Amino acid sequence: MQVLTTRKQKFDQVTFSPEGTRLAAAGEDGAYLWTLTETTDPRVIGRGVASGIGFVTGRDCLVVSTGLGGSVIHSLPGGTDHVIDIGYPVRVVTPCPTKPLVLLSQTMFERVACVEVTAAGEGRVKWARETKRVVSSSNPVFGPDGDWFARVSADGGWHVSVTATATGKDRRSVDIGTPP
Amino acid sequence: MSGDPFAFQWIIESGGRKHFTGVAFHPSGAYLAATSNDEAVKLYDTATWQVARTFTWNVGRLRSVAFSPDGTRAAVGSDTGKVVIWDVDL
Repeated sequence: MQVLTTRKQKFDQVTFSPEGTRLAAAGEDGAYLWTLTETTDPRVIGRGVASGIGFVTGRDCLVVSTGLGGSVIHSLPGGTDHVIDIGYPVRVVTPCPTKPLVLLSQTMFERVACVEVTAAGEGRVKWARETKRVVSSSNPVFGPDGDWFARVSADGGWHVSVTATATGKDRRSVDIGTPP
Repeated sequence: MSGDPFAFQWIIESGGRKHFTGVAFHPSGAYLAATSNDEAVKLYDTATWQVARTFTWNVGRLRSVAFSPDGTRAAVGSDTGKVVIWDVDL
């Protein structure tokens, strides 16, 4: 068991890198990045509270959403940042498991953008959409092949929506009632 | 479409704890890890949805959980600025 210690703060998301040698955590100073094979201090990425983090599939990059600094693509080898400007603060970062894509969404999924991360570590918005504001929404979760993502929302009942990754269009939505 | 996102059921409850703060599937699909705003992370067997293992770490309330891609390790984030990594040995 290994304990990584920082100043007192909440870590609302932790994630391993694809090769498993690094660990990132979303904290109140930004995102912390540890190299697990070293005993050096962690790298801190971004400014302000980091609410979402995710390693990008096929790219040596970490995407961080922060309240003050917007969303950034942090190149892990170079340590450089590219800001992703999509016009609203991002709460949740959801990497696609098979492609160099990330979903950047707000807490209740009112707005979401699908951003492609290039080999140069820059972000290009593939599509962006707005959805009806609901009482509550889960984070989006990709299917195994990355072709679709799903989320649960509550708005006078619970619903599951499935959206095509390529287009951002809903494929299907069903009412699932209420939990017991 | 790979998998059926609509083929599910209500499977676990938080066991009196107020709410889940983090969940993660083991890469094998055999376990689901869940944290519930206390110091324990529970691993549910996805065949039976019974608790298979409970790990308790005295680092404050747990807020998040993740498995390493090879499934050999897990990590949790707390509300005290600490992250715990351990060998899950499943």
